[in-house]
Amino acid sequence: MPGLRPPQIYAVHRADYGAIAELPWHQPLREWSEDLLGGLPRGISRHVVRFVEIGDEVLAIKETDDRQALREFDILGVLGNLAVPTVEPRAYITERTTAESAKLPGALITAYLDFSLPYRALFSRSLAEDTAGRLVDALAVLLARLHLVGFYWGDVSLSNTLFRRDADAYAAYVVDAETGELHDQLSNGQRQMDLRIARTNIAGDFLDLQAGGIIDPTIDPLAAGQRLFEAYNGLWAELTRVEEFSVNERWRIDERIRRLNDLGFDLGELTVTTDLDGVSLLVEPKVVEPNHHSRRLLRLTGIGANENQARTMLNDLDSHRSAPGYTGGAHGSGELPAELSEDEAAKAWLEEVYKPLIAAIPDNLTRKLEPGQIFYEFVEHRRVMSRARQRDIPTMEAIAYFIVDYLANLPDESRYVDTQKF
Amino acid sequence: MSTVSLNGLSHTYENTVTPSVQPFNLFIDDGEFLVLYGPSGSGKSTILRMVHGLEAPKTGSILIDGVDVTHAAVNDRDVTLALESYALYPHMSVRDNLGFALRVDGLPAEEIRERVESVTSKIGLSGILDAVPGDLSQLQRQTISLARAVVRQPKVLIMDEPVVNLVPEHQAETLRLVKDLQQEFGLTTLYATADLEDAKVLGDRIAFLDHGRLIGVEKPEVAEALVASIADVDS
Repeated sequence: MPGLRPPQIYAVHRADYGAIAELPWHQPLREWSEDLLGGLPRGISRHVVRFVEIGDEVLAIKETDDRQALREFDILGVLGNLAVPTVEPRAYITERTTAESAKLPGALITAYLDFSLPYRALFSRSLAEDTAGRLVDALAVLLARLHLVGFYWGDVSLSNTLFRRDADAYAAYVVDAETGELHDQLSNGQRQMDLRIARTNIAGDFLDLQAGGIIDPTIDPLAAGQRLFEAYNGLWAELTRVEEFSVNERWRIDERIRRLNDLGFDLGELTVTTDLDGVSLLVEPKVVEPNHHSRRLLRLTGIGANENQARTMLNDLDSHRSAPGYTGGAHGSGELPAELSEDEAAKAWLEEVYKPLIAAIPDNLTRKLEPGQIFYEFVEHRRVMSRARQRDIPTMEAIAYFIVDYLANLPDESRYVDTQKF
Repeated sequence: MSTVSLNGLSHTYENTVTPSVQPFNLFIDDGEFLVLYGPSGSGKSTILRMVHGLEAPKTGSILIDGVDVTHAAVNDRDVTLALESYALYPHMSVRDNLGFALRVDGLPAEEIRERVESVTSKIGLSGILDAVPGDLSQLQRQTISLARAVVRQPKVLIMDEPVVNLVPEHQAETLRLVKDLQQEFGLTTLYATADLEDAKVLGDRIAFLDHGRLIGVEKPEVAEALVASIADVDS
């Protein structure tokens, strides 16, 4: 259209620029043609949000004012660099005008997070017990991770979060950071404020689902808010509290590290101070890093997975390694059992268990779940089969039953887009 | 409704030397609408954040109704940030959108009903109590969001540039709404803005801030003169 003033577009990837520039930025997002849209997200954002398909990708576009678009773009970028789970910022658009030169809001573009689901969708798709509690627990972990890196969210809620399945739990991702602030370190007041807002908003999120008849009326929305409070405080204490031990109790440092590992965190740095009398030790974690199991799995096998999925795989790997008489395919053939190193065992497990499962998934079923979640569901399915038949099920037989009886019946979750409008 | 005393209050951000707020004294009377006016970096938001409990002062004390809350937890101050919770829930009626936070706070159902009806009747929203947000205009939704803070009946209501991100046509309406709500309920209010016109319209008094210093506190009628004198000093 001649005479239109083009908006300012900043795209992270040069390849995105052309396709983004072709979008009808002179129209309010609300008026964009349905042909462009992958669907409408179901949620309670204050802003107009739309999805568009560009190439084989889906991008989420949020209309907001110019200053906020730039600010949120920057914050999401920093959070990503700090390895906090967030959506990935891809572009921001400013100085938009209509054909008549009237000012339009700016826009923030983020990449659609594959296999993520909004909390509302999980209640219609999950028969798992205590879905509400698991979502809240995931949000508590996310909030603690955000606070560790000095991020005050300011609008903590299930609505501002996306969830990926993570074994029998969920992994939470920040999807809306416009009220957030980054600090070197948060004050207690900032953390308290985030918790206060979280408790109120989570109760509101669940009350709304009840009002819409989406969740069981027996779920207590107020208890869900309280659960976040308790889960967060327990985790935060374990991650940060200073403990005092006798100098003869150095083993308790190992205990602390083990507890952190069990919670999915590694200790990057620990301060141990001996008091003036040399009687007691003050122990304070200084740097704690999440994804203890994910990192170990990645190092051993090259597989990227969420934390609880990785824990499942590592358990299966250990179980495979310790099977009676097992010496690994490379060493096998019935000779005397030999202890495999961890690396050798991981390689054998990869070749004998993981790769056959993933390779057996038909192309039309690969969008059902992430590979890490497929593995977790397979292990669970195999366990149930074994119990029912009172015998071990050979891997290839278990894979065949898993695909036909279970995986094929699941909905696709790679790109969940709800077409219901609010 | 309450008084607020800020005594010798100052603040310095971690890893910085220059104070973000230099020591100052300020008394806000019961039911007063005090505007903190100044440009970006003047310290107005930091003052609000100290009252709210998000930032710890370097020196000084904060008294609400004579009680020292300088080191009190956020939940123990009875200070509410307007638009602290932004979302309106699509399946919930206006009544429930207004009242659910009171349920979280543990108030009995009868008191919640009374508070919600009292607030909505005073701002002309009684007729839409059973509507859902999808049925409301943008302005009505904004009104509900603001009223959500008022039904909590906090001792102190704080607002940090609440209209700055609104489209211009909604800014004036929202300012009028803010003033009406404050006057109707007599809430002690601290409001930060960088817009002198907004400050003059809203404030019973205006506290002028510049580079972390409180320059003076005046009635709106003399605001222009004080701003001119600050400009003279700065130049």
